[in-house]
Amino acid sequence: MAYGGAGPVGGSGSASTIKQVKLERESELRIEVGNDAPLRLRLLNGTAEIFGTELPPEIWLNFPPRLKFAVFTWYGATIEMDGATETDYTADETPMVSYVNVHAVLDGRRSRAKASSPDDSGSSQGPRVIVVGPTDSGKSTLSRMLLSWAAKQGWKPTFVDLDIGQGSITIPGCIAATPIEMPIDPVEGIPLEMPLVYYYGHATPSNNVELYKVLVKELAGMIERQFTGNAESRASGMVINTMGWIEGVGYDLLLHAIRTFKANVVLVLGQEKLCSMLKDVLKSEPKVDVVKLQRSGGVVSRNAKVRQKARSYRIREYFYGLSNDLSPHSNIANFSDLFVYRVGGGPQAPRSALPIGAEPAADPTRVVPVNINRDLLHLVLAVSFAKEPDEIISSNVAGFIYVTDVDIQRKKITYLAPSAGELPSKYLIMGSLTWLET
Amino acid sequence: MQLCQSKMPARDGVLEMGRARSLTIPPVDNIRNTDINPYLVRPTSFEIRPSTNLNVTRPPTLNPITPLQKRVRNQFEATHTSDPIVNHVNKSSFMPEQSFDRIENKDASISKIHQLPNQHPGLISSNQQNHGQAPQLQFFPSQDPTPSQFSPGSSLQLHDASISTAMSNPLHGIQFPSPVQSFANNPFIRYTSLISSLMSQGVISLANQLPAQDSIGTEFNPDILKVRHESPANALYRDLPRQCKTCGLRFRCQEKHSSHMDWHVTKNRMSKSCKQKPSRKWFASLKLWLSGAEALGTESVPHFLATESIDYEERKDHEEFAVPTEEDQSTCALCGESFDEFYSDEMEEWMYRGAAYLNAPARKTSAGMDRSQLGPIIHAKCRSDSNLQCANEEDTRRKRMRS
Repeated sequence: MAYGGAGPVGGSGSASTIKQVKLERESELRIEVGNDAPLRLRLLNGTAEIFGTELPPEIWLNFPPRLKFAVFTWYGATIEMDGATETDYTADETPMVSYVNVHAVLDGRRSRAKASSPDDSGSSQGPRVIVVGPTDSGKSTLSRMLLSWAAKQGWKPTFVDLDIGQGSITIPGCIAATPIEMPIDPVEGIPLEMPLVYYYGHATPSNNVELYKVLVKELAGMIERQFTGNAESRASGMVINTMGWIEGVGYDLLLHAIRTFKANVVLVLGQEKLCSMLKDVLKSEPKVDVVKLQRSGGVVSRNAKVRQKARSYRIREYFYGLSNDLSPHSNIANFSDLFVYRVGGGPQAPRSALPIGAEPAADPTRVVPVNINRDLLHLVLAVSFAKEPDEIISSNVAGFIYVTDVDIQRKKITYLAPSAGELPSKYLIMGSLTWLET
Repeated sequence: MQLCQSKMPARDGVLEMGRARSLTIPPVDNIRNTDINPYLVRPTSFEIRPSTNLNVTRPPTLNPITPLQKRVRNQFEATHTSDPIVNHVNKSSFMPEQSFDRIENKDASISKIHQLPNQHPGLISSNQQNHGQAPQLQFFPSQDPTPSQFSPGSSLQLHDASISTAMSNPLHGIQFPSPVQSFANNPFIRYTSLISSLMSQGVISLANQLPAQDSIGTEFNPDILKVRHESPANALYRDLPRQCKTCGLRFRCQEKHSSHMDWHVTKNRMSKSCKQKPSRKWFASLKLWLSGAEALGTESVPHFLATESIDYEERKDHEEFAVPTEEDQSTCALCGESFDEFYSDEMEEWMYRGAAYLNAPARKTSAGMDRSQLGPIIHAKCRSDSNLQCANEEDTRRKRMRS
């Protein structure tokens, strides 16, 4: 937790930058922290929450630069801020009432599931929620609220992140799932303590649509196994966050996810057309609710450059921690000790240009070995849990390494690893995720 | 004295009844076997009565209930197999007057159990009692009685039979004061029995008695979703009155709040004990995720972290072995595998990770020894197990000396 101590004493001699904001009932303070310095904020009186997580009274919280968030209050509150903001303003029109009503319905379904017989796998299943909508509609934020409210009331929902472009659970390029047992920390975000991660390797699914589908199916299968063995987890249900690509192939992948995870609650954010299409195609599905929700006015739009930078920060955060509180390790390995693989993709060579008998890499889910050379420099590779190369596509990953140097003459590769010691496996997965450590 | 004397004729009467039965019973073995049982019970009951009269205390008054219950059950069983006997006994007309009264009592009991037609029109009070109890008898079978439920019923019938006896024989009424006291407990016993029966059958549940919470239901009605209701926000704030002042988490009861505070203390202690920066741990394997996700709870977080911390220390200890790199040897002399090279900031030179000299003592550094005496380079892990134990022992000694 990024909690600071008591605030500085208000000396009469120094110029204080502390600012107080009084929030009326059902209003929210929207804040964008500046690019250069962190912001300190605390709740002075009343009650308030950030995306479903309640603020402790009179405890200063430190928010890192560039963070964007909103402080909402149901009954009224006074907020105190110390530091500069890019922007901050109060809004009294929010969709929070309908959001919390959705939570209340989900809570009722969880209680009903818990009260039913554990032997009846159908009725003892909690709500399987999927949040869909275009980019920058607040899908991640709504997911966090629903998860934190559920955890606050004692449930343990499973969070599933299918958005490979952002990386809510771990670095981008991954789809992942994790149990949420406590409200999500407003600064740190989703805790990375018990994740189940599959590495897709790219920031957009168009690189390899078939591979993305295979990994989604694999992840859904494992969650199903976890639900079978854990009644509490099953009754709590799941919340699935999706990508913002909702047309063409993106729409097909959305339907694939809804069906693969057997979602029975589809929350559509700020898109009439998408909501109508889903209602029409899902009306033949039994017991699937498609609920249209309003988009929050506080959601900030992000351009491609902002997204790219956010991905870099997220990768750095994996190795060094959000506040530089983690210590990664640099290691050297022989080329012969590691095996790097790529899954499908890439340009197809014509058969005439290949040696006699060689097959072109047309299969998008085929695992192809990669020679270690300078092309790996600055790439992020996943450490697979596979015991054999052909298991790579169906295995989760143990973490990631970052290639910092490739010595061709000595046949040695230098990489940054999250912790010291040997890698959990010698099989590494290559994608297109790069990072320039700055 | 009169009471004692009155006992004697009763015993004689019993003997006479026995003789009468033997005269009228056909020589069938089964009937004779069943006929023996009543005789074995009656002497016991008679022996208890004198003590009841002589000692007027509470413990003795409880004793007569047991043999009376046995008598009722025996009569119930005997009746099933020896109805002809009863008819024969009733037809006999040479019984003494007192013996005839006892026969009447038995008939009354039997008629109540089986609802048989009363063959003695003169006993009007018996008829009324029998009629009044009929609905109660019908009540138990409808519940599909179990052995545990039959006992209260038997007790109830027993008490009614006793009261009937008292009314029929004013003199004997003095001898049965305890049934009246037992009768007062019947309503409670029946009520408890009824509740237990209904709960075991799942008809009712104590949980249902809890007041239902104000809920907006389990369906997504657009009109309901748009309007503000007090219950959703209250469920997240006012219904959880206890709040952690450190992180803002709320609780309903004191127990969970206390365990949460313990979690904070443990977490702070762990972060303080770790002097150098921690490292990001590798993710859990699939097997651990499928099982660990269940064990992972608010109270389990420290345990999970502690477990990982131990594993980390063990691996780190093994990795501390290192020797400077040499051009003449790049593989282990024992297993033949290549060494991992890394640059050590402390030694300011390239090192072989996890390596040691074959002839060097089992310690991490070989300072003070000449290179020619150390022998070839090997993996520390490739030493024999006994050497590993020696290494561990020496490490333990060094740690003890430090502390």
